[in-house]
Amino acid sequence: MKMDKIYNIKYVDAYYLYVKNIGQTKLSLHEAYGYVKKNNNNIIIAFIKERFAHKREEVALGLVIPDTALISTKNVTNNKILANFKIGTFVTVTWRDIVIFDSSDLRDKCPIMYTEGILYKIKKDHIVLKNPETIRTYPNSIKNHPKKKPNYYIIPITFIDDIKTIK
Amino acid sequence: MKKLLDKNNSENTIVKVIFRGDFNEEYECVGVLIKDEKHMIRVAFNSKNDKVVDYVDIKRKNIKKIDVVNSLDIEQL
Repeated sequence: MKMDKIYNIKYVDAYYLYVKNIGQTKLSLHEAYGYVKKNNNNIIIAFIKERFAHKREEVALGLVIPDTALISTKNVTNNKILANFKIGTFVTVTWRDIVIFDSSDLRDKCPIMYTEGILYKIKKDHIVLKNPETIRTYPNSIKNHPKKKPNYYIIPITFIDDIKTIK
Repeated sequence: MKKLLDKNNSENTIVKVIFRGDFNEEYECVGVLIKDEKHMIRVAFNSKNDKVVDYVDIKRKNIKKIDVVNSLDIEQL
């Protein structure tokens, strides 16, 4: 698929904090310009394309985001997924993350993350997990993301594929 | 090459740049022109709460073509 059209993309992202006492939380507004192609529910945004002979081109620097990261879908939240969850319970969350990549590690799908932690807040468009531990399960397993364990992880609700209580 | 960045204009200048790499490979990028100097330009790709996150510096001597993109030619996603 040719990536010729130029797009302006507004999206949200997950983030983590090392502060001890968390105050108000909200999702930041991210904005990008680039060429876009879709791969099922993944959106690939090419910042730089390498151009080859015969009009062939390849992404040299880009971003993969879940299609649910778009601001236009931020409020179309499936809050039902959280209907039976109480603050203070220990949960596991499987979610899709955003990743930047270059030609040495081409990507066309979002990484899949698995986070365990205490459900600390449920807001309109995000959840906050306290004392989270996160591993990446796709494309390859990475323990401890980030390496230094944060105190809180803020995850957009639209990023969540699955959430379970640990008893 | 004339300067493109109009500091008196609060609107972003979106540019499409075709440039050479260090090994004569050819690249194309699009983004916001945030620096426009004698020997180089800086093109930003993304921002978080209006602060630039990722960008590329391109030497002017490596630029093959640069065009300002009309905002009407930019699609929203």
